[in-house]
Amino acid sequence: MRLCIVGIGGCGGHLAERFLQNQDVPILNRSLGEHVSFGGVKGLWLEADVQETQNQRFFGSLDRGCYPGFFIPHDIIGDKSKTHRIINQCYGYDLKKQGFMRQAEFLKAVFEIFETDQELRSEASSEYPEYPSKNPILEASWDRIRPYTTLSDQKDNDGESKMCDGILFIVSLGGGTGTGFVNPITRYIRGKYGAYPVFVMGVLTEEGVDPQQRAKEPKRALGAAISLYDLMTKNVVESVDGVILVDNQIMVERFGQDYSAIDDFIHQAMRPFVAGRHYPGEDPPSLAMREKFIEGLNRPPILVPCYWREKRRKDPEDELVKLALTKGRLFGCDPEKADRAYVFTRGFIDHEEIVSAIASYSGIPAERIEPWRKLGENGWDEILILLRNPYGKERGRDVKGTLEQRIHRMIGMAIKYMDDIESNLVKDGMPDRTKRALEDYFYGEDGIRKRFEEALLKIENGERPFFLEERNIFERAIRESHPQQTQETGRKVDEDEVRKIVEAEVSRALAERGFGAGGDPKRTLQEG
Amino acid sequence: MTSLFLNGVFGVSLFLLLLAGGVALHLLNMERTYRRVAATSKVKVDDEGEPKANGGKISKDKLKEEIMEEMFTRQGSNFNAAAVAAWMLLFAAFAYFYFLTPEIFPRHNYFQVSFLASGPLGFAAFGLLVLLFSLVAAAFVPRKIYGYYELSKSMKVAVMFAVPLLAVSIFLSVQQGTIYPEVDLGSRSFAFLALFASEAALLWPVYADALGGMK
Repeated sequence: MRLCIVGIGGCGGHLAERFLQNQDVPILNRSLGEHVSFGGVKGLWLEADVQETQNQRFFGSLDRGCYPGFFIPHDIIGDKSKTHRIINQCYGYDLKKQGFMRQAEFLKAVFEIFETDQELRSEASSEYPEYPSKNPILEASWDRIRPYTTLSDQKDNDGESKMCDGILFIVSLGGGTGTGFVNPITRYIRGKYGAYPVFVMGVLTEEGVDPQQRAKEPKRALGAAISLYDLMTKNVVESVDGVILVDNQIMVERFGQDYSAIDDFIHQAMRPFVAGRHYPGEDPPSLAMREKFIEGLNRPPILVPCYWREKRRKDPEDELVKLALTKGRLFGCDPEKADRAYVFTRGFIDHEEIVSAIASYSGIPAERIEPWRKLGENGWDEILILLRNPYGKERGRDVKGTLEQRIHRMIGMAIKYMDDIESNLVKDGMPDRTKRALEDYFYGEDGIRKRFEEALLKIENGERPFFLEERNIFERAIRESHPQQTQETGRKVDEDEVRKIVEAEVSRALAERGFGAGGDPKRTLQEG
Repeated sequence: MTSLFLNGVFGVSLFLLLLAGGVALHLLNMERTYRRVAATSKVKVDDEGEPKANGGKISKDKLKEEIMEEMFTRQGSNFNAAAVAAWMLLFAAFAYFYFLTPEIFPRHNYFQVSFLASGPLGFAAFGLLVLLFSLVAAAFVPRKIYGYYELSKSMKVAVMFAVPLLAVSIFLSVQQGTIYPEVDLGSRSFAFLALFASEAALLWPVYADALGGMK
């Protein structure tokens, strides 16, 4: 497995920087040869705020041939662009806006406009013939990511530099750019390459007021909830193959407001996931990892990382697992509710011992624990356990340190923000069609507020998943403009997609009945 | 202390001992890694048989080969270039320190090779000859040794810092050769310390791994 790390927005950029650090020692800030990253990862940074890119020295402009590089997606839209003008005049959105200040719905709306407005699409494709698909911003972004992947035309010449067979997007949940951009871009990639592995690591911003930008928690919570909702409600054919959640509140309690130390720690915790130096025969391609992550599911799983590291000693397995599951959780959860565990170790770790330790501390059946081991650093043993969907306990939201409690709080805050008259989510100056769409999206009968309330109930009852149906901002506009199409199918789906959905459903049904790799039918049924 | 710097037998023995220790420990580190991986592996290691993928068995040699392949890490071009240069300079500095002037080994030194000693570019030719010989040994060190260790940035910087340190040692030894038969004890001592500190830095990744492995 070799991942392409794509940091989106401020938080994503800082974390991507950790992953992409050159392992070589630069001389006068230069490296004679190729940039060598830990685990052979490659990647880039997507950012909306030009000033942010100017306030750092690690990433250079990709368009000037720098590596590691940044790319500002909306830069391809010129100031006098007709596409820009249409979106501004007809919908009230400024495509060239520098940063999105905790407004997940901003980018969501912009990308939906490209999907729904055929006139705009044809205007954009005639204005930007180099990007003939429906959205030049997404296509331009993908053009910058693709060269680092196995989907590119670049081939491995020297036998050493290998392309990435999967993508890990890193975003904050509750920020602006990452929160809003991650869904459109992952959906775009999936639309083009349905089977290419795409994972997301989302860092949920901390409770209280953000000390850097003074953004209040309810506002950030709404962005995070919208983003997570969009990630979790698509089926696995359209969405990502796993959402790795990290809670910045846990990080802040541990490191204070030292965000640099937090980034270093998150990177350290994820190193066993991206590291090379595998045990012989234990280097699965990203595609195999994807299949494992989504096995028996039709929606992307939540993966909670639990990490621990200790000085090397004899028989470390039991202690490592115990400490990772108790003190090393990067997001609140109940390990006993997890239906699977994916384990990445560094050091000399015994396969059987690690499986039995995880089974005994979490109750997950041994056949549902998948360890991948790697050689470690001198004198250290490390473990990263990704627990799949470790939630679903009745009244779990009343228990401190559970995923239910944290997500319940986030959704509750989001509703609070939506109800706050000062939030002004539907601004007066917006064109009528946008106001109507936003009103409908936020407060309509089947609007997001209603769905959030339903999600709260599900969490309280210990049901999973808690987010169910996808909701678009311009849904009503689509329905009104294409009534026949939506009455019949809801949206256009091609044969290949139908086949994949049917396959996923069949394998889930088989797994529930104890056939194939499924295993414990009771647990699969709990997933709902 | 001065006598220590000028004691040829002690110095050469120490130099060779550190080198031999490094080679031995490197082999030991590789063997230890193999043993630990084999002990914690899912597959059974079959002493004699050929690898049997389906039966979950693998031969010793095959497993060793696979581990070595997996262990290899790219360290970066700057580091590799500096490491090759440092190892070449290490042998050159060693030769300049012990075999340039006759006060350490009166019967085995540069001045005994008359065609070199009397030539206008004698010092340089002597050094280039040593560099040429050591090139073969130095060239494979990054790929065959450092490539198998996970080196921290500070370790890499220490290895790379050996290049200027060894250049200083060579410069001071050349100075000794120039002022001979006079001896400048201060610069001799510094050249000695620079030489051995560099050797220690170059071998430290191997020794550190061995120390870590003993715990």
